[in-house]
Amino acid sequence: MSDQPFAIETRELVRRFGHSNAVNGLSLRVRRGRCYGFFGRNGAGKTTTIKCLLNLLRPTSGSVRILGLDPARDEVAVKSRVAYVPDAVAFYPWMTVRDTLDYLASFRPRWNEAVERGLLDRFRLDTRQKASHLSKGQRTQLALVGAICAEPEVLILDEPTSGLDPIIRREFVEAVIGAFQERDAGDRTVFVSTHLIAEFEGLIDEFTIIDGGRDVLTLEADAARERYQKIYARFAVEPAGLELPGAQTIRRRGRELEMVASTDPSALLDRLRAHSPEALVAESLSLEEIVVATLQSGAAVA
Amino acid sequence: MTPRPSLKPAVVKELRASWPVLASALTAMLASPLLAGGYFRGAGILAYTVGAASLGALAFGHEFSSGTMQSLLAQPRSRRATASIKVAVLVVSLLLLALAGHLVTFRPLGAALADESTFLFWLPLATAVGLAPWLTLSLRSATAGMAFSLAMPGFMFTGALLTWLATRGFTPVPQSFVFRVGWVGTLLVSSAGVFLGWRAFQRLEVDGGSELGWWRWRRADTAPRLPLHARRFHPLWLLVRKELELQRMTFIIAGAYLVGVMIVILIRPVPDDAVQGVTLLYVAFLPSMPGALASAEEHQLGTIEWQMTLPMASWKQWIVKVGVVLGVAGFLALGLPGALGLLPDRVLLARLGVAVLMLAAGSLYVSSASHSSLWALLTAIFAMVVAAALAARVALSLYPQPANLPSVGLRLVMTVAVAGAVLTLAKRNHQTVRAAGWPAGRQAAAAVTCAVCTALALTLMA
Repeated sequence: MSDQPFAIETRELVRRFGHSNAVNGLSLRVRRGRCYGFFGRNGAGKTTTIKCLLNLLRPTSGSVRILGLDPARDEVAVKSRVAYVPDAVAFYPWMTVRDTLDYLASFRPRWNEAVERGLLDRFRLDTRQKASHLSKGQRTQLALVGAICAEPEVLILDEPTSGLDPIIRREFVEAVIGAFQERDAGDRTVFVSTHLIAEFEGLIDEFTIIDGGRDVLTLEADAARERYQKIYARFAVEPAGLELPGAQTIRRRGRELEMVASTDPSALLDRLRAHSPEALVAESLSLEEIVVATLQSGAAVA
Repeated sequence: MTPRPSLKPAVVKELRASWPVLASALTAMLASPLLAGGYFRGAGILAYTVGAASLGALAFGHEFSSGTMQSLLAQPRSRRATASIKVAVLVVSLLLLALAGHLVTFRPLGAALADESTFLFWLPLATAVGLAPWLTLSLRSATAGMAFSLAMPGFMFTGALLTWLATRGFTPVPQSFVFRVGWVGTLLVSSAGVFLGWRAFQRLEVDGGSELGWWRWRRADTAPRLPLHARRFHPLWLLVRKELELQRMTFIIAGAYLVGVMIVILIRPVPDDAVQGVTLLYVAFLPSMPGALASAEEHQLGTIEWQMTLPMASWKQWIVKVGVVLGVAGFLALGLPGALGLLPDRVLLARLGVAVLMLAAGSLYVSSASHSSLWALLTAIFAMVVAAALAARVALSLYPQPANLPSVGLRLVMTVAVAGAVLTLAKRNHQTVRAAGWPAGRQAAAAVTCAVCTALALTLMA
């Protein structure tokens, strides 16, 4: 493994508001060049974590490193290499799209004009339009253009596809984010927090699910798909004394059984086969299904 | 049968939205005579006037500030009923304010100032009911609604002068004519405003729910053709421009003052004392505005997050913000009247300079912990009245003889130190993006420290 620092690293991160911990001892390690998913329910602490990464909120305790640097102490060095698209995008209302991009470009050490032109065309954004007249989706598009043209090493996206129409959304995820990472393969990291997990299914390399400010599950996406399987079994007669450790039952109706295996699917399949099922089907869960299964079961499987 | 919806939650919501302003205005009005005897009656009148205009603007404006206008209009209640509840709560709040104003601020003025009292007592109430809600709904901004309804009597008096000028030429204008036309004109516009405000709410179109309407209102949909390629400018210059854009409301108020005073100076229709009075009111009010707008407006627009993540040190961004706030406050509050020859006394100018510095710094601190520029402005003004009254009280008891005051150098060092501390605390607030990001106890302690230090500094300079 390379000795390069992690793109993002948090250790025992805690952020407290009043008496409640929005983030509660979260440790993350995001390797460079990866597309990292950050999932959880509303209020799980995702946005608070992201704001701590960007030094927009100070951690109550614990540490944060971006590309090996402290975002509070090495503020400008970190900000020069990071771009961020917030969940609620807003721009100065007196600026046009062109003014806004000029404004952003003027602060950045790098700005890819060819990418800018391509994205403006793709999103059909009128550069003369006032920011105050943009729809929510258009504001998000403009924020994405501003973030991607800066060619950051770490791109942090908080609900980037909310407000985008389905066509743009698909195009954005596959063409824009995918192309962004491919351009400098191995060196560009995307950290994305989203509820529309299916949109990012093909891009996510690794993910963390948090709940109540804590890490519930961190896995490589491929490993997760191997480990989490949906199993359907039908028996000739209702099996007696069938014990299925590590399985989360979705549906049990007479001779039919549907479950999610979250630890060792092959062992579970062997147990089921021992009862001579009429039918036995196993298929990998999608990332979205894994997130739902994990959060519903409340099981912390590391 | 569908049960009739209860009125109570809607009334409680309106009361909850208006009581902080009402309570702050009443506190400031009570503090002035209690803490400083007759020295601060003028501050009580300022609190009364600003309080009335704010209550009027917030009746509908708090829905814009908190982004709830869309959901309010989507409720299964007629707009007529919704507006009636808002107006009823506004009238009750204004009656309470008027009662306190009569007992605490205006009655003690006595018969000597009967005419002025009548004018100063009734006009804010009329504009609060008639003008502030209408202007707020038209401009989609409580801040703009409050500021323009406050300025409306000034516009009317200026209109009266211009009318005289147009009809009689450069001849001396009777003061009674100016006041009569100004009075009647403001009352007429306020009466029309009641109808127009009602109509504006019945026809209100909401797109988004924030206060963006104010910005949309001022410019056409698209700008002229712009170059296709990215243009680069010096980031510091862009920051200064951005900060100046945030101050447009301040420039409008200063512009209105300038036009009014220029006309008065041109015609000389009223005694110099009146111009001096208006100027002192302007100097007392204006410095709070740049600070109040500078940080809260960015919180309100929602631009602060990505602004803070741009690759420039946050302290540099803050220095630019502070520089623009102090520069604008100093230039408009002191430079403008000074250039017009309305602040001839150098000693007065030095004292006002200190007051402007403290007011601008204090309002920037309040603004940094606020998500609404109107709230920031109101808090700064009411706090200023209380702090000034407190300072006068302390000054009278500690230093009955001016000769005993500390040296000028020491006072100056103390003032700069206090302003620096206030601005450092404000930076911390601004940077943490959300006010709750800083513990509430520490926030309150900082606010109290700032208020006491401001009072102390003003005391020593007074």
